Amino acid sequence: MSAIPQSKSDEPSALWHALPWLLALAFFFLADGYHSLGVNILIMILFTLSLDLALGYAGIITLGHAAFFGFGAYAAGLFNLHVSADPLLGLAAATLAAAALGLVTGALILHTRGETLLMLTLAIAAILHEAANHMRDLTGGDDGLAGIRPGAVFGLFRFDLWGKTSFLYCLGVLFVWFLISWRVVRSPFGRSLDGVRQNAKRMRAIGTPVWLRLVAMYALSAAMAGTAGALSAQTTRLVGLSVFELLTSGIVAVMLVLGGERRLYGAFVGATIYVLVQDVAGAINPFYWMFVIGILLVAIVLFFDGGLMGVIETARRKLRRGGAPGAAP
Amino acid sequence: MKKTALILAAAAAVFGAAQARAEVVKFGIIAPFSGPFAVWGKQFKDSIDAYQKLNGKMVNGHEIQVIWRDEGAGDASKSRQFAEELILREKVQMLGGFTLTPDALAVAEVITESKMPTIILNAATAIITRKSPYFLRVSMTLPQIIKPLGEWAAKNGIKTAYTLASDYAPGHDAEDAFVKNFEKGGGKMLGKDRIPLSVTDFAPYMERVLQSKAEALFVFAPAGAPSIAMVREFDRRGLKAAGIKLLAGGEVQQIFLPSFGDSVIGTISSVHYTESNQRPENIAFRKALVDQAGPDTVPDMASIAGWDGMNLVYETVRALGPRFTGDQAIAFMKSKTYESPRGPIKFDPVERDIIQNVYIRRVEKKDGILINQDFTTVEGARDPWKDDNPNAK
Repeated sequence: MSAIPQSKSDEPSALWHALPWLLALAFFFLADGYHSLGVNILIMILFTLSLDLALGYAGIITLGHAAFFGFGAYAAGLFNLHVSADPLLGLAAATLAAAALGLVTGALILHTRGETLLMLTLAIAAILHEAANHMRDLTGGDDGLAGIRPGAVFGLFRFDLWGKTSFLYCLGVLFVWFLISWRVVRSPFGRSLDGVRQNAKRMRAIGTPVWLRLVAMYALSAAMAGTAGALSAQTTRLVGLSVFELLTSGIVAVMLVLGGERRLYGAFVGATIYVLVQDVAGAINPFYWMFVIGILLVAIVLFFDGGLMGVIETARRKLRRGGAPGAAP
Repeated sequence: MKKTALILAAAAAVFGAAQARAEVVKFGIIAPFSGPFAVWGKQFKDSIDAYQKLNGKMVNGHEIQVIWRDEGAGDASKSRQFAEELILREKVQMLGGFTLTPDALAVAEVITESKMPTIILNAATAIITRKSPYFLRVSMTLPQIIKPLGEWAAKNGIKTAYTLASDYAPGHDAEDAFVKNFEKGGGKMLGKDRIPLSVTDFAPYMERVLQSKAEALFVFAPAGAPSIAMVREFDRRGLKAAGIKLLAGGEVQQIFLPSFGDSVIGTISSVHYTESNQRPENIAFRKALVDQAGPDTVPDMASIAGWDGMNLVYETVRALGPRFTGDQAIAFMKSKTYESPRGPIKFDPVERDIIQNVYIRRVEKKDGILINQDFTTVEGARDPWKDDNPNAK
C-alpha cells in the first residue's frame, strides 16, 4: 500500500485541493458563534497532520506525541509571559523549542523499533508531565499556566473573545504547514521514508541513512506538533498539565486513524469529524458522549480501511471512471 | 378615529403580551461526568434535578433551563472552551459548576470579559474569587473549614501532629491552615509531607508518619478515589492501632464511610455540612434527593452546593426577572442570606465568598450506619485566608 498516487491522471484536481480551504473560509463568514469550535478543529488538524508525518509516512510508532504539543504550548506560554507578547514570535520560539526536543529525543530513541519505541515515546511524555508538575514555580503545576495574553497579530489584529482573529490566525498557520508537508512527502526525502516504513533493512542496504532520515522527519513532525500546542496556548490563554497526558496522544492517534493515514487530508477529515461529533454528542447528551466516539471509531476501523478519507477517495475515483470498479493499485 | 384607537389598543395588547411572555433563563453547568471525579458531576446533577422536581421549573412564568457540559478528567482548557460555547452559542445567563481549582481559574478571564455571573459549586482554593468580580462561591474554602480543626486539635490535648496533603493549590491551602492554627494553639508539627496527585500508593507516607510517633495525622486529598485510598491505608498500616488520631476534612463524608468499615469510627473531621443534621431544611433536602435519585442516596458537599447554587439562581430570577446584567445578578446574590440545609449562610460582599458554620464531627455508628456526629459548631466562619492576605491577587 503506497501513499503515492499511481499516475498523474489519478491526482485530484485543483478544485479538490481548494475545497477544504474554501470550506474553512465559508465557515468563517457563516458560522457566527462557532469560531472557537473552529479554532479547536484547526489546531487538532495541525496536530493530527504532524502525527501523520511521523506515524503515517515515516512509520514511527509513537504514543507520546503529546510531549511536543505540550512542550510547544508551555514554550509559547512562557515566552508570552517572560519575553514578548508578540504571537508570531511566540509561535516561532515554541516551534523551534519543540523541534529541538524532537531532534534530541528522536536521536536517542529512533534506533529502536516496535514496542521498545512505543514505550520510549510514552516515557518521554510521562517525564515531561512530571517535570511540568514539579516545576510549579515555572509552570503553575496542577493549577495550570495562566495569564497568557498574546498581543495583536502583526500589531494589527487583536484576539477577540469571539475567536474570529484566532480562526484566521490558525488557518493561516495551518496553510503554511500544509504546504510544507505537501512538499516534504513528495520530495525524494519523503519517498525514501516511504521505503523505510515498508522495509528499513532493504533501504539501508541500498545506502539510505535510515536513522538520520527518521530523526529529521521526527523533528519536523515535533516542530509541527509544537506549533499546534503553541496555537492552543495562545488561543485558550491557558496551559494545563493535561497537554502531556496519554489521553492527548491517544486522541490525536484516533483522529488520524479516523481520517486515514498517509493522506494529509485524512488529518483534516479525522480531526474535524472527531471534534464535531464530540461537540454535538456532548451537547445532546453530556453524560454518554464518549460512548458515541467509541462506537464511531470501532465502526470506522472495522469497516473502512484507510479511514474516512479512504471512503472519500474510493467514491471520487468511481465518479471519475463512470462507476467502473477502480483498477487495482 | 375609532379605527386608529382600535389599532392602538391592539398594538398595546400585543406589546403587553410580549412584555409578559414567558422566557427561558439558561444556567450552564460545567462539571466532570467522566473520569476520576465523575462522582461530583453525578451529585451536582442529582441535587439540581431534585431542586427542580420539588420547586418546578418555572419561576414567575419563566422557565429555568439547566445546560450540562462534561469537562471530563479535569482539563482546564476544555473548561474554558465550554464556558465560551455556553456564553456565545447557548446564550446562558449564568454559569456554574467547577470541581477542581484549575477549571474555575481557567474561566476567570472569559466571565470577566462577558460579565457572566458564575457560581462556583466546589473549587475550594481561597484565591479563586479574587480572579474575577463575577465569581460567587457557594461551597467553601479549605482555610475556612480546616482552621477550626487546627484550633480544636491544639485545644484538646493533641501535642504533636503530622500532615499529608496532595501537592496542588488546595492541598497547600489545607496544610497551611492546619499547621498555622495548630502551632498557634501550642501544638508541634513533626512533619509535613506533600504527595503528588498521581500517587496512589500511600503506604510509604503512612510509614513515615508511624515512625514519627505523632499523636495525630491530618490528611487532605481530593474527595474521591484518592481520598478513599488514603484513609484506608491509615488503618492498614497500623496507624490506628498505634493510637494515632486521624483528622480530616471531606475525606470522611458519610458518602465514603461504607468504604472504610468500622475502623474509621472516631475519626475527627471539620466540614461545612453534616449530612445527618436534623434541621428541617436538611430533612426536606434529603427527602427531595431520595425522591429524585432513590433511597440509597447520601448527600455530600457537591449535593449541598448544587442545591444552594440552584436556589440562588431561582431567587435571582424571582427578584430580577428573566433579564439581568451580570453586575445586577452578582450584587443581588451576594446580599442573600438564607437557611440552607447546612445551616445559615450569607456572603462576604467584598470577596463574594460564602460565610457559614463549620462543624467539627466524629464518626460514630448509629442504628448500624456509620455517620458523622457534630459536637462543636463554629458559627459564621469566614475565609481566614482572605483576611490574612488582603492584597494577594
